[in-house]
Amino acid sequence: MDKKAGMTPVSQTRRFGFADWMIVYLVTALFIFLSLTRNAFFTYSNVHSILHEVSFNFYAAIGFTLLIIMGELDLSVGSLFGFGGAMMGFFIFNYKMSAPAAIALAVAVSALIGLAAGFLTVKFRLNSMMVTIGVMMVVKGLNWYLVNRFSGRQFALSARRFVSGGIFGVKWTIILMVVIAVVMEILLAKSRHLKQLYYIGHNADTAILYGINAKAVKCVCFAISAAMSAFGGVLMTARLAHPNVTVGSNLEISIITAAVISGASIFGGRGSIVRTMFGVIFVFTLINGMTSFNINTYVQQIILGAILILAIYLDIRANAEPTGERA
Amino acid sequence: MEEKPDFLKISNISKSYGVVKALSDVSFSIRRGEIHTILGENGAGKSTLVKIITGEASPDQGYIELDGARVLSFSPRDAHKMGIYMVHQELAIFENLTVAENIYTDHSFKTGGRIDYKKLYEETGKKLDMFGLGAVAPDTPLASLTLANQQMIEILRCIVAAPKVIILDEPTSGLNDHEAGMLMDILRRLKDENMTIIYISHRLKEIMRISDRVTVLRDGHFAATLVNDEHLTENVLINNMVGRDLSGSLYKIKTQSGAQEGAPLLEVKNFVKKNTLHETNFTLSRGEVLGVFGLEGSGASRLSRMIYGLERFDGGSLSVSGKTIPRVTPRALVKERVMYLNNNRKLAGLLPDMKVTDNMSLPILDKLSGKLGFIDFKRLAGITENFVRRFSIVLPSLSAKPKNLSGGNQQKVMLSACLVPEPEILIANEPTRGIDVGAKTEIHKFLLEIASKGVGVIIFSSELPELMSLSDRILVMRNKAVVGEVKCGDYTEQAIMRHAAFGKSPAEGTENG
Repeated sequence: MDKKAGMTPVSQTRRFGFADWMIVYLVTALFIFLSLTRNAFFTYSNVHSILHEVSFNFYAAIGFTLLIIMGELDLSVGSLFGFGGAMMGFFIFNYKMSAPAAIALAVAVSALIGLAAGFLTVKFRLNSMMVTIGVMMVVKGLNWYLVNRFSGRQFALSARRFVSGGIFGVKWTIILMVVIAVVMEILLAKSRHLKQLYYIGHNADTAILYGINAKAVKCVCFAISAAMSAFGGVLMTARLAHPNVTVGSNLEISIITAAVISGASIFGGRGSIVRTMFGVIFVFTLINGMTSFNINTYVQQIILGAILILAIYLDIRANAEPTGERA
Repeated sequence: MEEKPDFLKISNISKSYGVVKALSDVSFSIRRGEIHTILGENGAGKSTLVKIITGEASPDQGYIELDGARVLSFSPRDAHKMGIYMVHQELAIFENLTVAENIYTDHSFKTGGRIDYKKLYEETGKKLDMFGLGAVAPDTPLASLTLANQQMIEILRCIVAAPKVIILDEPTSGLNDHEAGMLMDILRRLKDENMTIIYISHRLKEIMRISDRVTVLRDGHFAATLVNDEHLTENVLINNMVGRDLSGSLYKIKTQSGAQEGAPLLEVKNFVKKNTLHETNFTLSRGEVLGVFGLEGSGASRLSRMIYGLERFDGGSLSVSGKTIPRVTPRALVKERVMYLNNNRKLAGLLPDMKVTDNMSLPILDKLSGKLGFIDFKRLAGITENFVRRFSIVLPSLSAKPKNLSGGNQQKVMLSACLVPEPEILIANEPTRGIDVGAKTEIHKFLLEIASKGVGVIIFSSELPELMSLSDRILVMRNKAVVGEVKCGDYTEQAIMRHAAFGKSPAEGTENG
């Protein structure tokens, strides 16, 4: 015990601390660069509108982060984001539902879809990436079908007002994003329910050995992921005022980039909600910046793809080494 | 019998893994054209020796001489070039490819870029005929063959490479007696062609039937090389395998049972699983240390996994303190305060990349947190500190990661994680595998200590001295069934080993030989 008092691995903590918050430095650097090169960038309204867009997409990244901590990938977030909005339109236009009821129902249906994806993954030990690619295809098809049935129809003005409401000039979706990020971050570190995710991500067999119901936890997180994706999509669609098939397209790519670039590992065991938030801010600010430089959207895609590959490469280099062996 | 010349000479080989000495100063030689068995208990150093011969590991000291030439550090590839081939216990076959493709994996019979399938099948057919497998068509997918035939195909694959030395690791473990007999015939023919065969097996009868000579390893040391003549008996082999000095302080044979009277703490009733476990029944009392002994393949380790719900079973029931567990899962058992110490901490049981405190909190997350679910880190630090002190775990700080600790300390962290929930029953599977003698002694002490406080402990181990020093009773398993029970006071290694090697298992039919 005396040994313990004398030695604390300070150097180690610091080194990892720097790498952990790399994403914050990246975002800061990007903001400084764009402020210096683009006159219109660092204005309240521009930053605010970037964060407003980020907030919808961030909701879809919450469950994704919980899952990646457990070593699972959910590629259906983008399509459920779109489908959430389409369902809302469907319930409002076809069944004359009130907006809150339509939103609640769309989110609930999405949660069930997520639960089904989770069930398939854990019950049959399937690769979650493959399962959710399947879900993505199915949901995309349903999305297009629904949207085509009521193209051109607009939501009531109240829906748009609701989404852009705020307190002290800050949109409520941004405030909610920050609150969720902070609360989830605390829970991940301190609550037994979310701490479980790290155990499962580090070694699911060990977690199971000591009594954790890894399958149930995964199913719940798939449901959260789907529900929150739909929630973000509903808000986004309401802002656009009409359902649109492009809502949420390729969002899963932005989110996986955001998560991995901010320190989550595709091998599980790592990830943080606050950092993912910064990751999403980074990706969407980058897109905003590239657009302001008049960079062609195709070139933007190439750049985003290259960043994703780089992030995955760094993740593999840092986290794929075999562990447990002492030389 | 004429004396054949030495072909493979093992000279003064030593090899350590960390603090564990796997082989110390082992020397013996294997002749050309003989079937030479290497025999030893689990952990005696057989697999390390084989790894050195096949180039998968290099010795710390000593060298190998092949056909008079000394070979220094070589890779498995070099070993193939020198004609040394190994048939592994786990089959390395391609199930979706045909028999022919599995045998000629190097794509022989190529003309230009195309494989001449006609010729490939023809050659394969000839080889199959030679080995009495004429009934197998060369273009059958391997997956449709029996396990025995798959094994033969794997051996054939080595043989077409025209090896000089072929090593077989437990080749009969998946075969029935008839199939094993066929394999023996093939080996004898290869021997007649002057091939050197190194044979590794636990089955003494088989060894007596096939070997020319037997080298016994014991605790990493060379024990003896015995000629298989009329003087060799199974008892001689057993005595050579276990004949270690038992007067040492490490392994004092237990003579007094510590089991408490009263209703059993754990009851295993009619546990059964097809092809894996024959009907098994036993009970565990409060304060009892029950040893379960079995050589590799006896089913002991799998029984331990079934009891804890890590592996499904076909029938039977489990009760803890008189209460039948409706669905046997690790979660249900943890709730009944049963914990499982895993045999391989690298696979599961320890989180090497998470803090030591995180390792300790995993099994008691619910007890550490209040209604809102927030973990009481202060209490956790206290609990961890307690175990660190109690088990004298050496670590730089409580937030150290187990991957940076020695094997013994890692094992102590894992044992602590199992004991943090204050279990009533501990199932320990190979509790001291791969750790140094010092840590081993300590862990033995801790296990006896918790038993003396009333915890029921089941130890599954393939180390007999360990079991004899800890257990109040030893169940012996062989061939998927419990074949004997030896009570504290009657322990001798010979008696227990006899059960483990010859005990009549109800899971098997008539045995010939």
